[in-house]
Parts: sequence; structure tokens; C-alpha cells
Amino acid sequence: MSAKYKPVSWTRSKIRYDVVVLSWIAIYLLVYLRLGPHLANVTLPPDDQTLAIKAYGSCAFLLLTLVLGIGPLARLDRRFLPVLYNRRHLGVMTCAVAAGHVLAVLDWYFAYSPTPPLAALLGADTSFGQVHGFPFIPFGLFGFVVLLAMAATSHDFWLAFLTPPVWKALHMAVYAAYAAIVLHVGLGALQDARDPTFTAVVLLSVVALCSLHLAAARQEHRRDAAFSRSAADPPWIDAGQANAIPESRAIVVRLAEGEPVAIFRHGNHLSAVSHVCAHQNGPLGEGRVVDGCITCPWHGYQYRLEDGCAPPPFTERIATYRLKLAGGRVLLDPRPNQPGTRVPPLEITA
Amino acid sequence: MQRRHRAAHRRIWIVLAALLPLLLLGALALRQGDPREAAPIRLSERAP
Repeated sequence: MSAKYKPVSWTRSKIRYDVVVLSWIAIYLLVYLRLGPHLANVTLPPDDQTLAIKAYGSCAFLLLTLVLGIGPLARLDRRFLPVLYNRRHLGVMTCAVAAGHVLAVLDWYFAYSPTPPLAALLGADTSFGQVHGFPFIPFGLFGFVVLLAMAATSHDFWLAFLTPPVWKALHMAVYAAYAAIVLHVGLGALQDARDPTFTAVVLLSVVALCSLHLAAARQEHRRDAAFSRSAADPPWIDAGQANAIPESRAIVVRLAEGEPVAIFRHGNHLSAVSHVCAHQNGPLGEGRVVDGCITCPWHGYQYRLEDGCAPPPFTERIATYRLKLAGGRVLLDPRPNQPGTRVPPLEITA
Repeated sequence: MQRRHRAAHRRIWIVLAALLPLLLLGALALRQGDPREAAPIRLSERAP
């Protein structure tokens, strides 16, 4: 946990994740480039360069759809969480494939242009009054610039340097980028596509992605509303025997509504905080107390036991919860306090 | 994800879910049809 640059800490799961994704990208491109001309129902198959433009472009579009679909999938079904953890790697690969598309376009259409390639690219279509020939390239270029900015700032160093609010705001621009890229595809590739498969894939992917996000949002909205209703006077939850919690470790209590809670023991004191790390949603309850601070098992982000705040100069905060003892058992108030709220640790007998 | 963040996501996707399919369908509906048979070209008649 530092604002200094640290190289990506490769783990076995990250390597496996990247190998699988890169293999799928390679297979997709190979199949498209090798089999594409044979599958196309046209008299004159496209030339190699045009095929490369289409292969890279369609691959980047599908990857972006996948990247944006992982979030709601993980919120709807926790089994998708492992895919979420390395989503940044997938985003960087999406940007690299999109760069392949941009370079192939510049190389094929504008390599011998007397005007600078960027100016030629932006001035290629000027039919503002009709769909066919409408300048669709600026939409794609905007989407690519956003992807590039996101890929360049995807490392934890930038998260710490820019601060989480700025970093998150920057990365929310991916939605504007996605909308621009859908327009780029709709006004560009779909105008010339006579193959109904491509049209159907684009339409279905957009509808599926929107539906996933709406379904996840609906579920969370219901959960939040139910939680707000029950928050007025919720019953305290029995979290088990106080002495059953191992030293410097936690037990995780899953609530009917809201986020899971981790109850840590440090000496003869208990503290309850959110199980979800503010950094990348890591499982805090699987971490341990190191130097008096809860330490996330994923990236080592730390939080103080008494108020859920990261020690200075860091600014991350997580929700805290109230605890009380009744006959040697720990009772948990399921209503979360505002992140960073101080709650005196509960003293227990050894 | 914090509630405020979730609410922002929800609003964004309600707008996108309404706009994007409409824009795509519009672009498809307005796309140029296949080339039709060109109008016959009248060759200028040679003056007698």
C-alpha cells in the first residue's frame, strides 16, 4: 500500500487468466482471418487488410462488451467474482486489440495520404445529412482515446496518485466510450454489412449488456430498499461464541441484506468491519491483523480496527459495525456505520 | 460498491439501455439498400 510505483505482482491465477484470454483472442483472430473469406457470402472476398481491420475491430468490440458485462454478472452471481478480480488485465488487452484495429485502418486507408493521417482519418466522411457516409470514425477515435487513457492508468500507482475519486471518475468514462463505439459500429461497419450474423451479434450484445446492467441495478435497488426498511429496528445477529474467533483473524457473518461483515479479534478485543476491501473488493475477513491493522489478503491494503480508516497518509475507509456481548456470545448490529466511523472495540474475557 | 456509486451506475445504464438499441435500429433502418438497376442511359441521337 504505497503511492510509489510497484510492478504488477504476478500470481498463478493472474498468469492463468492472461494466458486463457490471450489464447481466446489469438484463436478468434486466426479463425476470422483464415476462415472469414470462405464463410463470407460475397462474390469478391475482402482483401487481407480489410479483413484484418474487421477482425481486430470486431474482437475489440466483443472484448469491451465482455469487460463491461463482468461487473453486473459478478453482482448477480458471486461465482463470476474471480473473473472480476483481473478485469483490468482484460481491459488492457481490449485496448491493445483496438490499437491493432486503428493501426490497420491507418495503414490501409491513409498510408499514402498527402494530408497527416489523423486529419485524413477525421475528414474521411463528410455526409452529415445522411446515415450512409456519416462521419463515424470520430466516434471510434474517441472510444479508443478513452480506452487508451484507462489502460495507461490501470496500474495501482495511478489509483494512488490520482486518488480513488478521480480515478473512478476517469474510469466511468468507459460508458461514454462504449456508447461512442456502438455508434461507430452502427454508422460504420453495419452500414456495409450484408451478413446478418454480424448485425445480429452486435444487436444482441448491446441488448444483453444493457439487460445485465439493468437486472443487476434492479436487484441492488431492491436490496437497498429492503435494507433501508429493515434498518429502522433490526434485530441484533448472533455471530457465535466470542472465544471461537482465532487471534488476529476474523469470522465472516453474511447478512440477509447488505455486505458481509468481518469480526476481527485482536488480543481481548473484537471489532466488526465490512468484509469488502475499498481497493478492489478483496475479502478482508480472510486477511489478518498485522501491526494492529486489518490487512487485506489481496494487495495488503490496511485499515484500523477501531474506525475502519486506512492509516495516514492513505484515505481509504470501510464501514464499521457495533458489537455487544450476551452470555459469552457476540451480537452484531447489522446496520453499517458510515465508513470511517469510530466504534470502540468490544472487550472480551480471555 | 457504495450506494451513491451504484445509483450513478443505475442512472447511466437506464439512459444507455434506452438510447443504444434505438440508435442501432435507426441506423439499420436508414441504411442504404442494395444497388438497384441503374436508370437506362440515353445515348444522344446522332443528328441526321
